[in-house]
Amino acid sequence: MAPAVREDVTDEVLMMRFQGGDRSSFAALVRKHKTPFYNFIVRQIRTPQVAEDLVQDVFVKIVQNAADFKHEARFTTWAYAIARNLCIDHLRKMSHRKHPSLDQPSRADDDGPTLGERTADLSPGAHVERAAIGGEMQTRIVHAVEQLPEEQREVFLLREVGHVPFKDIAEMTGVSENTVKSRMRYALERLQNALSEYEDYARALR
Amino acid sequence: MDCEKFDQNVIDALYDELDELTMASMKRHMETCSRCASAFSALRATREVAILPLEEPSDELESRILFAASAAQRTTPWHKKALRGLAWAGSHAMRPQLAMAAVFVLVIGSSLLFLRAKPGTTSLIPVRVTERGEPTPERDEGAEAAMEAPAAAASAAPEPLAQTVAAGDGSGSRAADTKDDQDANAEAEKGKNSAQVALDDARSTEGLQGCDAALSKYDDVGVRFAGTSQAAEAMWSAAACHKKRGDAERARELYGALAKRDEYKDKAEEALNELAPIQNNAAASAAPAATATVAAAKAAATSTSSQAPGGGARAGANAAPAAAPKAAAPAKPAPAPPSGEGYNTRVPGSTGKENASPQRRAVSSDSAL
Repeated sequence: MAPAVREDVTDEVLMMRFQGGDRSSFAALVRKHKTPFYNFIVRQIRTPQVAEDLVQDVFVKIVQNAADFKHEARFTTWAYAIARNLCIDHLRKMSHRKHPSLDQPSRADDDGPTLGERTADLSPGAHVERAAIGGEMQTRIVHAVEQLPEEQREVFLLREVGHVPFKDIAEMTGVSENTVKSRMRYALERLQNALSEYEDYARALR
Repeated sequence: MDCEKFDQNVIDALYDELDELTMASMKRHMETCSRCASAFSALRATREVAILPLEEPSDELESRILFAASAAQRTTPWHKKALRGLAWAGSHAMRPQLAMAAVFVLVIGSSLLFLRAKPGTTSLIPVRVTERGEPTPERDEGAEAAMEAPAAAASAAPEPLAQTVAAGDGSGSRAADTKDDQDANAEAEKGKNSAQVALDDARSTEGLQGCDAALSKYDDVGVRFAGTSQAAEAMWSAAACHKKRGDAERARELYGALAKRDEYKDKAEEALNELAPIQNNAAASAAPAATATVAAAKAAATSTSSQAPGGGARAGANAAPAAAPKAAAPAKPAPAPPSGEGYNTRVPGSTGKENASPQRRAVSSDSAL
C-alpha cells in the first residue's frame, strides 16, 4: 500500500509534492494530521462537531495557502498556526453569542464514559482492569486540560499534541520563549494537582 | 547551579531540549537541593502520567476534508494557483547552484557592457581631433608623406597630385590621414594671420632675447601651423638658431625636412652641405685622418659630379687619384651617426646637382653667416 511507504516521508516533503500537484501527498497529510488537529481544536472548542468542521477548515486553508508555505519552514508549526487562528476566531465569535461554550464543560463531565470508550483503543493490549483505570485516568486528564487557563492550555496542547518546539510556540503566540516555558510549567503543576489522587494508580500501573 | 537557574531550565530538561552539560549540572544541583529534586520528579511524573489521550474524530471526516479540499482547489482563484505554481517553480529555481549561475551571468554581462563601451569612445576621439584641426602625431606623419611625395616625383607637383600619390600607394587610413591633412591645411589657411603673428613674435624674441628663448617659439609655430609657409619659415629660423648654438644634428634634421619643400629645397641643401664638415669634425674628431677624410669626401663628390661647373675641382681630383680610393674607406664609416641619416641616406641617391660644388658652398656659407 502506497500510504504505508509515505509514512517515512516528512511532512515538508509531502507538502512540497502537493505544491507540485500531487494530491495523494495531501491525502497522506490529512491521514497523518487529522487526529492531532482535531484534538488540539476539540480541547479548546469542546464541541466535537464544531471541532471537526474546524479541522476541515484547517485543511482547506492549507490548500488555499499552499503557495505561502516555504520549504525551509516546519509543516506542523505552519499548520498549527493556521489551526490556532481558526480556534481564536471561533472562540471570539462564540464569546459574542452569550458564551455558549461555557455550557460545554458540564457536558464534558457527563460524556466521561463516552470519552473513555472512544480512547480505550489507545491501550488495546492492556487487560480489562488496567484499561478501566486507564480510561478513568484519561477522562480525568482530558477534563484537567480543558480546565487549564487558555494561555497555558494553548501551550500545553501545542507542545504535547502538536509537538511544536517552545521556540516556535513563542513565535506563534508572540511572547518570549521563557514565558512559554513558564506557562508550560504552570500547566504541568495544575495538572499535577488535578491528578494527584490518581498518581498512586499511575505508579501502580507502571 | 542555583535554584533560579534550575527553574529556568527545568522545562527544557523535561522535554529533552537541554544540552548534556547543563543537564549534568542540573543533576548535581538536585543531589544537594531537595526542593528542586522533588519539584523535578513531580513534574516528570506529571508529564509521564498526564499524557493527553487522543480522541479519534468521526470516520467520515477524512473524506469530508478531501472533498472540501478538492473543491477549494477547484475554486481557488487563478492568482492563488499562479502563486502556487510560482512557489513550486521557485522551490526548484531558488537553489544555490542556479542562484550562483544567475550571479555569474549578471557579473559577466555587466562587465561585457563596460568592455564594449571602450572601443566606441576611442574610435570617436580621432574624429573629434581632426574636426578641430589640431595636429596629432599621426597627422604629422601624413603631412610628411604628403610632402615626401613631390620630392619623390622630383617635380614641382601641386598639392593635390601629392595627395593622390600618397593615397594611391598608401592604405585607406593613410588616405584618410591625407584628407585630414587637407582639412588641417584649410584650417591652417584660416589661421594664417595667427601663424604670421606667432612667427613675428618668435622672430622678435630671437632679436631681443636670443636663440635660446626663441627656439621653443619657433618649434611651437612649426607644430601649430604645420604645412604653412610660416611654419617653414619658423623651421628655417630655428635651424639657423640650432646651427648658431652648435647643435648640428637638430639643425640638419630641420634642413632635411625643409629640403622636401620646393621653395626651400636649394637653400636647405646648401645649408646641409655646409653642416657636413661640422658633423664630420664632430664624428671623427678623435681620428687623426679627419682632414684627410674631409678632403677625400670633397674629392669624391667632385669626381662623381663630372658636370660640376668648377673647373679647378676637376684638376684637384685628377691631381690626387690615389688619395681618393684610399680615403674612401675611412670616409664611409665617418658619416654614420644615426641622427645624420636624413642627410647621409640622401647622398647616394641624389644627383650631382644636389651635391653642390665647393665654391658654391663657400658662397652660401658666407651668406648664411
